[in-house]
This record gives sequence, C-alpha cells and structure tokens, in this order.
Amino acid sequence: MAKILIIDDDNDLTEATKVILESRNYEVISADNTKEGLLLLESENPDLLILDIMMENKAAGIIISRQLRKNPKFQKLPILMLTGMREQTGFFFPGETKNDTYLPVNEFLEKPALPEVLLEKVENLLRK
Amino acid sequence: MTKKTAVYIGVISVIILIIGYAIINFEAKYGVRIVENNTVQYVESIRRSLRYQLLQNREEDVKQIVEAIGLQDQIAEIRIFDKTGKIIVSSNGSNVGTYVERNAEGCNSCHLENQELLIQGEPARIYKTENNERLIGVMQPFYNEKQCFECHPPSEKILGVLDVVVSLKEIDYAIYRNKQLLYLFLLITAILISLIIVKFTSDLHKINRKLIQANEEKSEFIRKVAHQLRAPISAIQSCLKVVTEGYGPKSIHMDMIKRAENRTEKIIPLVNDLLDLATTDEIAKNKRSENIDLNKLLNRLIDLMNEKAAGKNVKLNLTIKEILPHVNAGPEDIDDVLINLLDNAIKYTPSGGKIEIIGFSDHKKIVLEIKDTGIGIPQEDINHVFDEFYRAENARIIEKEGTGLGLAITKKIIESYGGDITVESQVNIGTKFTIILPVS
Repeated sequence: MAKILIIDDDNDLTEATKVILESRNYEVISADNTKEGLLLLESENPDLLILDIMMENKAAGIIISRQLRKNPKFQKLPILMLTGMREQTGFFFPGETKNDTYLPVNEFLEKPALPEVLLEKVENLLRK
Repeated sequence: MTKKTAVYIGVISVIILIIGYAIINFEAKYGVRIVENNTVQYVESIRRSLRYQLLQNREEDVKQIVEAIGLQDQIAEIRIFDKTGKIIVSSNGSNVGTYVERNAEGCNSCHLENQELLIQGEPARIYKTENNERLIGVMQPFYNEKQCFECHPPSEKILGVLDVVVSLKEIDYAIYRNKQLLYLFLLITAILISLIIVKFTSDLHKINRKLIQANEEKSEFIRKVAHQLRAPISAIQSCLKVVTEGYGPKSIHMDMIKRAENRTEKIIPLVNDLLDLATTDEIAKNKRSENIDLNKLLNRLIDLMNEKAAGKNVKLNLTIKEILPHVNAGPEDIDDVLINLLDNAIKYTPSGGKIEIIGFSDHKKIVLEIKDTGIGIPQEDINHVFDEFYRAENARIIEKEGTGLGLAITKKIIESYGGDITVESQVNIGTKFTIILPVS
C-alpha cells in the first residue's frame, strides 16, 4: 500500500485530506512544519509527497521541492503541490506551462481541492 | 511652487504687459503730438521773423537765417516756396534724412481738396525717408496775414509758404527702446510661465505615480486578504466534503464538522480586523476626538489587564514620570492601541516576566513605552511586524491563530493622530514598543 506524506501547516485541511486518502486505503503521515516534514521524509520513505506551497510566511514548499530534486534519493519522488496562490506565482493550471527549474513538482492542485480531483491526481502520480 | 504663486505671477505679468503696451501707445501718440505742437509753435515764430525780412525784400538775410535754422540737429529741412510752388530759399544740407521731394506746382496742387486749409494752415504731415526714418512737416503760409497787405502791397516774392520738416528720431528711439523692454519682459514672462507649466506637469506626474502606487498597494492588499480567507475556507470545505461525500468512517465525521465550525469562528476576528483597518483611514478625518487624560486612561487599562497578566504570572508595572498632558484623540482608539500592545506583551512574555509601561512628555509630544521581557522579535522579522498579515515565526509557535493585523491597525490609528510607533527587540530578551503622540 502506497505511503503518502503531507506537509502543510493547516491542520484541519491535513486531517480532512488524510480521511479522504485513507478511505482509498493509502497510508498517510503528516507534518505541519518543514523541519518535521523533512525528518519524516528521511525516516518514512513515502511514495508521494503532498506539499503546501506557503508555510511560515515563506514559499517553503518551493524551497523544499528544489532541495529534493537535488538529492539523488528523492529525485524521482512524485510531488503534488497544494497551492492557494495561483495569482502570485503566475502559474497556469493544470501545470501546462509550469517551469521545472523554478518549481520542480509533478502536479499542482489549487486549494480548495475537490476530493475526487485530489484522489485522481494522487492515483495518476502513483501509477507512474 | 504653489498654484497660488503661479496664478499671481500670471496675473502680474499680464498687468505689466498691458501697462507696458499702454505706455508705448501713449508715447507714440502723445509724443508725436507734443513734437507737432512744438514744431507748429517754432514754425510760427520763424515765420514771424522771416515775414518782416521778406516784406523788406532782404533775400540774403532770409537765406542766412534759413541756413542757420537748418543746421540745428532736429531740423531736417526748412524751405520757402512762392505761390507757384517754386523754392525760393532752402536749407540745402539735410541733417536727418532726405526729404522726399514733391513737385508742388503751387499751393493748389496739394490743397485743391480743401481750400480752408490754405487759410488755417495745414496740420502736420508725417513722412518717412528712404531709411524709414520718420519726419514731421509743418507748413505755414505767409499768405494769410491779410493785415500786412493792407499796408504793404503784395509782391510775388513774399506771397509764399514756410515749410519746416522736423525729425522724429528721438521720440521714435524712445518708443523703440521701450518696445525692446516690453519684448524682453514678454520673453521672461513666457519662460516663467513655461517653467510653471513644466513644474505643474511634473507635479501632476508625481501625484499620478503616487495614485498608481497606492492603487497597486490596495490590489496587493486585496490579494493578501483573498489568500488569508482562502486558507480557512479551503479547510472548511475539505472537512465538510468528507462528511457530505461520506469519506472515512462515520465516527470521524463529527470531528470534521467541529473542525469546520472552529475555523468559521476564527474567520470572524479576521473580518473584524479587516473592517477596523479599512475604517481607520476613512474615519480619521471626521472622527470624534476629545481631550484624553492619559494618566487616568493608563491606570484604568493596567487594572483591566492585571488579571490576565497575573494569570500568566507576569508583572505589570506603570511608571508615569511626570503628569502627562492631555492628548486629542478618540478614546476608544487609544484604548484599542494600548490593549492590543499590552495583550501582545502578556501573550509573548513567559511566566515570571515583567511588563513596564513608562510615560513621559515634553511640551510638544507624549512618549509611551511598553517594554516586556518576552520572546522578542527575530531580526529578519522586525522590519515587517507592522505589515498586514505578517507574523513572526516564533510568534506563530505561541499563538497559531493570529490575524497578523493587530499591529498594522495600531500603527494606522497612531498615524491618523499625527503620531508614530516604533519597535526595538532582541530575541529572548524582550521587546520595546515606543508610541509618540502630539500634545493637544
């Protein structure tokens, strides 16, 4: 069974996402800050990372995703980026014109995400 | 330069231009008139003296007199015609310019139209020489002195005209000089007005740029607000979707609904703070303000906050160095500001800490310091603490749910009364907010 790590500082959203994913029998672990998230990433070896773009006043999600792509261990780890800031980054959804150097993630999901869309994207990413 | 100054300069310039124009016109008209009158009188006096010589047939004397007169600077030419128009005597050298000769064939050749003029004497004529120099000519007939002929039988020689032509050089030069002055003034005015226009346009540009910037800031703020609202709404929606679409076990659904409810409640303070922030600007202009006794107000607030501080084992200490003068402000606003700052200080000061409020003043301003022994503000955050929605990282750990608007509102309120607020801080040592308010 696939293991999914959620790094997001919004506990309520994480809990709801967890319930939705667990209903499809995924194993879900979560962290509400980047430090803890990176530790879990090392120790738990998840199959998919769901990452919030903005945490702790900063675009922490962008920084983490760039770090992971440089690390051989996590280069292939699929990343689903949750974002509520489409306007500020100028990305086009769903990801057609995304810039892999600037933001090296596999998929975007705009908040608030509908459960079926979330599940579909997670499934797609895990199948690859 | 103000708009008023520009208008003054414009009006004064126009007045000076009008006056200058009037002076030049006056000079041109009356200056010539004066020269004309003087010439007429002069010619009359010459005629009187020449008349006698002519009557006596002393042609040589007449010639000498005429030549002497002709030598004068202003006289262009002086001549005597007989009744057939033949020149009897003439000052040959012209000092001023060439008199444009007319082939006068007797008086009638020129004066046919109005015989009256022959008797009254023709008004002065104005000529121009080839050099564009103006000349004024006055003719006086010897003819009209009928009483002379009653005794002295008229002879052909004396029946003639004295014609004196005078230069208008001096008066023309004065007019020319004044015109030059007027042109110079016009040029200066034109330059000044262009400068004013340039200044105004650049002022308008500046104002325009400021407006554009303000508009951009507002848009940026709206984006931030949207983002702030989007986070709780997204969480609420996801929690409720779990329930309505039946994800997970039923046992977890009540927890999801409670989470959604909690988040809804936390949106309310955010919305209230947003309203406060928006109204601080608008109300500032027509706010109800009164003279506030800060001594009383501070004591009341300390009493109010003491319980909360004691609950956290934090000491609250007020020192008023000298009786503070009154300040003109809305009482609720000052309450809001101080409660917000004290509330923050209590919140971020660990148990056993101390909060000091110190008030002092000089004649112009009142200074209030709120000093705590709290967690402090990290160096990288301190420049942003008054920004909307900004929260320092260590503050998030202590209180997760802040709107990040409290200090932004505080700063706006204080600035709306012409005051200022600054902050100094060291991590784990403490924070000091300093409020400066003008004395009413």
